[in-house]
Amino acid sequence: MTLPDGQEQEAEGGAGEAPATPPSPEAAAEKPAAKAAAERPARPAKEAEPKEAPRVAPPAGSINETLAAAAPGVAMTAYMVPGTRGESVAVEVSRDDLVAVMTAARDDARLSLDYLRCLSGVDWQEEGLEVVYHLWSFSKFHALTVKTRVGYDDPTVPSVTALYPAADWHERETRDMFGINFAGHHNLVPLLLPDDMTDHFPLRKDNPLQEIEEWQGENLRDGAGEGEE
Amino acid sequence: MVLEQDHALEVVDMAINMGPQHPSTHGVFRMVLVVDGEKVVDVTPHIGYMHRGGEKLMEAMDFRQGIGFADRTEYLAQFSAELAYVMAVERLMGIEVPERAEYIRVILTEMNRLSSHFMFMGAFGIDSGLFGTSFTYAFREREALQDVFEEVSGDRLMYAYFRVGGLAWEVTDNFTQRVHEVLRGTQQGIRDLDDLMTHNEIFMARCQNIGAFTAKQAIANGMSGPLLRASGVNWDLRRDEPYSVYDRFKFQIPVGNYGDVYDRYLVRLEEMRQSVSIIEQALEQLPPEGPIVPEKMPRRLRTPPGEVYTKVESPRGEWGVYLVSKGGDKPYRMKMRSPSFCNLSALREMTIGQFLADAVMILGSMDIVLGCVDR
Amino acid sequence: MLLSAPSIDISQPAVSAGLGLFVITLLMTVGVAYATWYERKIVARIQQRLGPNRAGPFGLLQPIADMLKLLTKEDLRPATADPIAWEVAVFGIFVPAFLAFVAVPFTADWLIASLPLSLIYLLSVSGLSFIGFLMAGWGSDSKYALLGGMRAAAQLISYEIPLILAMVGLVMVTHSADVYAIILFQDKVPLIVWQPLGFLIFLTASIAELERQPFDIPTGESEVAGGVFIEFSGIRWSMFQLTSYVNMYVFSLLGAFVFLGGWEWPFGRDIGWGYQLLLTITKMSIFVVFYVWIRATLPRLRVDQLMTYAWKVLIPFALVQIFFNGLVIVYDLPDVFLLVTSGAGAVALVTLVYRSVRTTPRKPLQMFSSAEPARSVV
Repeated sequence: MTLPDGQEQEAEGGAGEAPATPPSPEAAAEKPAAKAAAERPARPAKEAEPKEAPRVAPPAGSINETLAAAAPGVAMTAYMVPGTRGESVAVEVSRDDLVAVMTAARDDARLSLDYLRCLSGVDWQEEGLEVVYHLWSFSKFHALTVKTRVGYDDPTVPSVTALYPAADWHERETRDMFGINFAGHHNLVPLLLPDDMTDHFPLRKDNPLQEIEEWQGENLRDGAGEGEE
Repeated sequence: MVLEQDHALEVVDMAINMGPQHPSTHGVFRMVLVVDGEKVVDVTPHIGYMHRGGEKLMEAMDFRQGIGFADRTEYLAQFSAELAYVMAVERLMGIEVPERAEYIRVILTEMNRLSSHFMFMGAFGIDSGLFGTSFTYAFREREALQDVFEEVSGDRLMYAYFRVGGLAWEVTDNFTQRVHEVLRGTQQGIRDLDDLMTHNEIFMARCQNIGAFTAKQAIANGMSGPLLRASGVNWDLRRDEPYSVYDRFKFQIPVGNYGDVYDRYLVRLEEMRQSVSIIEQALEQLPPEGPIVPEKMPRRLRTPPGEVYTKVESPRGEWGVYLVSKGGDKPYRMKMRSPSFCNLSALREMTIGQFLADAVMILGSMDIVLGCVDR
Repeated sequence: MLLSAPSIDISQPAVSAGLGLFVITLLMTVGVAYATWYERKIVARIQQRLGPNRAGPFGLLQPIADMLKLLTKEDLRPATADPIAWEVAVFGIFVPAFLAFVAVPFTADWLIASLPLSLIYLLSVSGLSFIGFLMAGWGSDSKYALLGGMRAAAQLISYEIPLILAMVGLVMVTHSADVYAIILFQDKVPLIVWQPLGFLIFLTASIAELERQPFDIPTGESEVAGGVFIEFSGIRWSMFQLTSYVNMYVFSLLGAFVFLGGWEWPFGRDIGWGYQLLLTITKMSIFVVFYVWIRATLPRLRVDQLMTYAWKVLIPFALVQIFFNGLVIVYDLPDVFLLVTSGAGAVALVTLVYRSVRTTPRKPLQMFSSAEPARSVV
């Protein structure tokens, strides 16, 4: 829902798209939002847009080649991802190679990726659950993003806390939110969620947002909120 | 007559619970300290009292609504959070922000850094036992800064002033004069706080050699910002991975040597002075007229599919936004890499072996904001 | 040099003593309530704010408002509190403070009881209060209270010793343990001139005995959230607070009498009770102002630093003071030697504290310019 504000009118410079402006606040108060949306003219079909960004292979001599040399025998897909300015390399590896790749990333003298910036989980629905590691080197000043994907049936990823202590809380949070089990983590208890909430994974896409209020009422799923005190 | 002891005295470590309601935990944060007399043997931090499901909520908000939520996560350095978010969207959409908007963004972000560091000074003084004197000195200046923010954005704390592509609306006509006025008061406030605390023997005795962290430990634990710099790592995102127009200013970056609580305090104090200098340079270079949004601003903010990781040097450290988009006007995944979360994860390592009173000082020196720890 | 003090001229000594005690208690209660007003106003001004200014003109009715509120509060008692310890704790702290006023000579003629050992009486009675702290800490059945109680007991006992040793130095100089006689001793020169080191030790130790900043660890707000007092509310809490201010008055009066000359110096005994009272109050106020000022501006010491300071710094210096006093007395040296030795000791104490913290070599911050990108970060 776009909100009418002065900035929009200025930026348009009178492009005259009056029919597409959302209804006034009084009208919106009277009719439900769904009806109001239906009254707007249909947007031109934009379903032909690609759902994924085109993948650009990294230029020759990029960090992925060094990584391949440092961790031989590991299958990886490399492509460029944007940063604040410029771009950096992202590699996708399989879960079984993850520890080898991260060890090589940290210990190899050409890479020295000693800083784990961020560890996130992403729920790609049919394509599985993904864990994304953003690494940085304070001696070589280069970045690397490592990604690994697992399926819903076996959401286990080896933990990297032995390599990067910074991953400790990030992995706990990702487990809370996505249900990805980090094998080898020394203390995988809920961090942000209540201590007994180990069966719901809020950030997965099959947890819809609108129904979140229902969880706190009588519609609690069986067993939820009844963990040990 | 000699009394014989039948059994040795049992010595048990005491578990003390600090929080979630406690004067010095800086928000709803709970620490369980196991102490042996006065020495801390183990610390278990418990967070999540302020978890609002922010990342999930962001997936349901479009790119303009999300700015308001970014404020609420990092509620002491709001402009940094907003900046990271709008920069991520702009990067994905390929939007260029006009110069005037960039300069105003920098001015406001640096003023926000000042107000956040004033908050730190005030709260840190209270932690160290000052009866509230540092707090009132700091908040006097912070109120002046918030007055300017209110004039510009309409709100004292949750500004929601940055927009994708620039700013929401033009600043007030007397913006430059107001900022100059406020800066004079701010410099006096910094001097006052400096006189009150920096060379106070008791303060120094409470802060020096407490919670020392080496550079290697800091890097391994994912720390950033003043804590990283206090440990001796010469790294500041404004210089080393510049964003916005920071590469046009000349300023100094303070780096400590010992990584203890005193160094962190000194680094933040010095950063305040440098922020004043940056704001003055930005005011000089500010284009007097110009658009604040690009002319070809799309009406509906839809990003092409892709991902981006943008980062901003917030007063607490590196505030990062990992934005994954599958097309559309809402993020598919929006991960906020919050500096307080990463810094706080090292609390245990830093506090074990210190005294109970030092645990409070160490937590204070980390300058956490629970909004961004819990999101 | 032994002089005995005259009592108040009323027929029955017991009646006159009782009357005096009643008057003192009443005055002290009101005076202490207004000490809170004074402190809040001064601390507020130091903190760039106004302090109480709503209840009455200049907030002068604020203590009354506070008193009314505290008196009408519910008397909560933790279910698991030790019945005797928790009940008696308040009195254990409150009563010794008021007992001290028995031996305090407000003017040359106004005192309740003249004791030949009034200095020892004052010090010992004010030292009884630590039992009350222990009872409060233990009886509250709360970890925070227990911590606070232990810290309070440790602190109070530790700082009693330098306080008493400083007084011993005084007693050696004046050959009397009676506060009245010590005041009379100072008709030409106040004792602060002969015993500056003793004065410094007294000043520091008295702040510690009062448990005010920078020694307020037992009641450290930001750590143990009030320490011993957290399970007490309403009247009991107000009694704790009042006791703290009563003690402040007692120590201020003691300091005014034994170091600054009380009502005797500089005008002697013949100026009438009004001026004597004024002098007493003025000199007492100097101490009160000092205590309040320090409270607003200094952070808190840590427990181990506090203990170190008492045992490793103050006590040795107090013993040195006694040693030099002894030398002067035994060898019958002129009084100026007292000034020289004690003054040197005072300077040494200040220098020691200054140097031990300030001049530990510490590298200053390194400053890097934004124009040069980082090439080596670690």
